[in-house]
Amino acid sequence: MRILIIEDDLEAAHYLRKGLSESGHVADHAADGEIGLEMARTADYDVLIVDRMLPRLDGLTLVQTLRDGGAKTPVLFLSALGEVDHRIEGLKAGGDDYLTKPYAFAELLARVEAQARRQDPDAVQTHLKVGDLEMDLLARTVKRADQTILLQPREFRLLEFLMKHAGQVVTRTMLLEKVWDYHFDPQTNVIDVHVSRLRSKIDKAFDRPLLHTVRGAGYRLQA
Amino acid sequence: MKRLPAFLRTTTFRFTILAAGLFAFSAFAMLVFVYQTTAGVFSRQTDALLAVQITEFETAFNKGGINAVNKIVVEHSIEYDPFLYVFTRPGGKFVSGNLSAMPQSLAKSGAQRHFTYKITNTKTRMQETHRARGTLVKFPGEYMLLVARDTEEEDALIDRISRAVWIAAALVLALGLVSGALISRRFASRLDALNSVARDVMGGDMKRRAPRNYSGDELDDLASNLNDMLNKIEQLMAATRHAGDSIAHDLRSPLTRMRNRLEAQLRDGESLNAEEADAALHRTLDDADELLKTFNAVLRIARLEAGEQREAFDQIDPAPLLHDLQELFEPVAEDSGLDFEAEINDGLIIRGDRGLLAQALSNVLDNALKYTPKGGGVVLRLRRQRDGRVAISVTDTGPGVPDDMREAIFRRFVRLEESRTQSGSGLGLALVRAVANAHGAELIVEDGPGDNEGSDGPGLHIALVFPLTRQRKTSAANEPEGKSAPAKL
Repeated sequence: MRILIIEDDLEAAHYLRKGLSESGHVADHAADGEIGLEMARTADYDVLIVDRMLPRLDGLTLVQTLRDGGAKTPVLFLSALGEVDHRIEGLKAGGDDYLTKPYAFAELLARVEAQARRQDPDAVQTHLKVGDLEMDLLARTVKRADQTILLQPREFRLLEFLMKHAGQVVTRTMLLEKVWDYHFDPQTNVIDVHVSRLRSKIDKAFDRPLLHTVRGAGYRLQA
Repeated sequence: MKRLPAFLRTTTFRFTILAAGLFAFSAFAMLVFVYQTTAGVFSRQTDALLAVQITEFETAFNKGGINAVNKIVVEHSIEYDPFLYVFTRPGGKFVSGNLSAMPQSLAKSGAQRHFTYKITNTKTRMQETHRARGTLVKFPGEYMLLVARDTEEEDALIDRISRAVWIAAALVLALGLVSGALISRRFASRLDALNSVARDVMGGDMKRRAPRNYSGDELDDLASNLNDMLNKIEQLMAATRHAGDSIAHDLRSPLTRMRNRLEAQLRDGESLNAEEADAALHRTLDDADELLKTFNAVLRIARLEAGEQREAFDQIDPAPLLHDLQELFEPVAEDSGLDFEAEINDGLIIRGDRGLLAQALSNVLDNALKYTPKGGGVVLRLRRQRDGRVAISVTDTGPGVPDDMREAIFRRFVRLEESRTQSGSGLGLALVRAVANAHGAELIVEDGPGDNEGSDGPGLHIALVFPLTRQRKTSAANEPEGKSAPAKL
C-alpha cells in the first residue's frame, strides 16, 4: 500500500514511516498542510494519515479541500484532540477514521489496513469466505466445512466484520467501535469474552483454528 | 507626596463626610424655618398691635388734638402693660407716658424701631436693660409720640433659639466628622484584614483565612465568600496535587518495570532464545498499553471536569444503550458465574451523551462484575423514580463499600485495600463521577440487597439519578415503581 503521512512532528512521522515500511507498505511524509495537500493531489495514495494540527493548513481544512475536489482516498485522522466532538468534526470534514494520540502502533496499522479494504464501498458483498468458513449475508447463515453454525445476531456481526477484514489485525477498540458502535476504552475483557464465545462456535469442533489472537494488538481471522 | 492616613482615603469616610455635611445643612435649614415661624410671628404680631394703636392715636388727634392724644397716652400707660409710651412736646420735653424719656437712639434717627431701655424689675428691684420695638409718630407742632412694646421676653427666646440653631449645626457637623472617621477607620481596618489575607495567600500561605464577625453584613459576607473561595482553591490544589502524585505513583511502577525489563533484555540479549525475547517484549508492550490507558482515562476525566461538553448534550432515551450494555456484559457475567439481570423501561428521556454514559456505566458494571463473588448477582436497572427523575442503577451482592469510603472510591486513584490485588487503574469510578457531574446527575451509593445467604457482604447499589428534563415523555409503562429500594435479588 502507498500511504501518505501528513504530520509536523518529524520524530513521530519517522517512527510511523519506519513501522509502515516494516509492515510492507510504502510511506511518504509531508511536514505541513500545504505540502501535504499538494502531494495528496498529485500522487495516488491508498490511505492518508493526517494530523489535525498542522502548520500552514490545518488537517480538517486539508481533508475538506481534498473531498471538495472529489478525492475519495480514505483518510485516517491522527490527533491529540480526542473528545467525541473532535471525532465528529473529523468525520464530518471527510475523515474515515479517527485515532487519538497517544496510540499503539498496532492499532494504527490495523486501522490503516482496514481502510485500504474499504476502497470499493459500492461493491455489495453477499457472500464471505475465509478458508472453509462461509457466511451468507442475505440468508444470514454461517457454515464451516458444510456444518451450519448458529450465531446470535451480535456474534454474526462480529464474525462479519472479522471476515471482511480477514488476514488483517483488528483491535478490541475497533471491534467495539464497528460492531457495537461505542467509542471508549473498555476497562476489562468484555470484547475478549465475546470473541472467545465466537471462537468456541467456529473453531472448537475443527482441527485448524481460524480466529487467532495477536498479542498486544487484537485478533486476526485467517485461513 | 505625603499620603493621608488610610481611613481618610476610604470611600466610607468620603461618604460619611458628605452625609454629615448634608445632614448639617438640612438641620440648619430646618432651624431657620423654625426661627422664621416663631420669631417672625412675634414681630409681626407686635407690628400689628402697634399699628392699631397708632391709628387710634391719629384718630384721637384729628378729633380732639394734642390733649386727646395725651389723655389716651396717660390711660394706656397705666393699663397696657407690655406697651411703652413717651409723649413729648416741642424741645423733647416729657409730657406723659410710662417711660421716663425718649430713648437716645430713637430721638436722633427718628425712624428706628428697635431700642433698649432700662427698667427696674418689680420683684428683684434690680435695674435691667430690656429690648423694645416701637414706632415714632410725629404730630403737628413738633409733638412726638413713641408707641413701643417691650420685646425682651420674645427676643430672649429668639436668642436662645438661634443659639441652639448654631450649636446644633456645629454639633451635627462635629459628630458627623468624628463618627465618620471612626466608622471608616473600622471599615478600613476590616478591609485591611481582608487585604492582608489576600496578600498572605498570594504569598503562599494557603492556610490563612479572613476573620469573620458573623454579623451577616456585607463585609462579613465578603469575608465568608473569600474564605469559601480559598477553601475551594485549596481543595482543587489538593486534588491536583493528589492526582499528580497518584499519576506519578501509578505511572512510576509500570515505567520502572518496563525499564527493568528492557535493561535485562539488553544485558542478556544474546543468551535469550527467540521465544523468551519475544515474551519479554510483549510484556513490555502490555505495560505500555496499560500506561496509555491510564493516561487516556486521566485526560478524559480532566476534560470532563473542565466542563467542555455540556452544551453538546441531546435528549436521548437511555434504553437502547442499556440493552447494548446488557448484551455486552452478559457473557462476562456468565463466565464469572454471576446472575446478571436487567430491568429496562423504555421511553424515558434524559439529556445526555450516549458515549459518555456508555463509558461510565460500563465502568460501574465492570466493578460490580469484578468484585461480586461467584454465585452472586448483578442487576442493571433503568426506571423513573417516584419523584419523576430517571435513574440508572447497578446493584450487586458483592462485599459492598464501607460507609466511610463511599466518597473516597470516586476519587482518582483511590482503591480499597481489598481491591489492590485486582487489576485496575483506580480511575473507573472517578470517571463515573466526572460523567455524572457533567450530566448534572446525582450519584447515589448505598448498600445493596444486604447479607443474603451465600453473599459476601451488604452488596453495593450505585445509581445515577438524572435531573428532570423539560420535555417529558410519559407513558403508562413508566409509572414510578417506588424509590430506589434495595434490589430484590
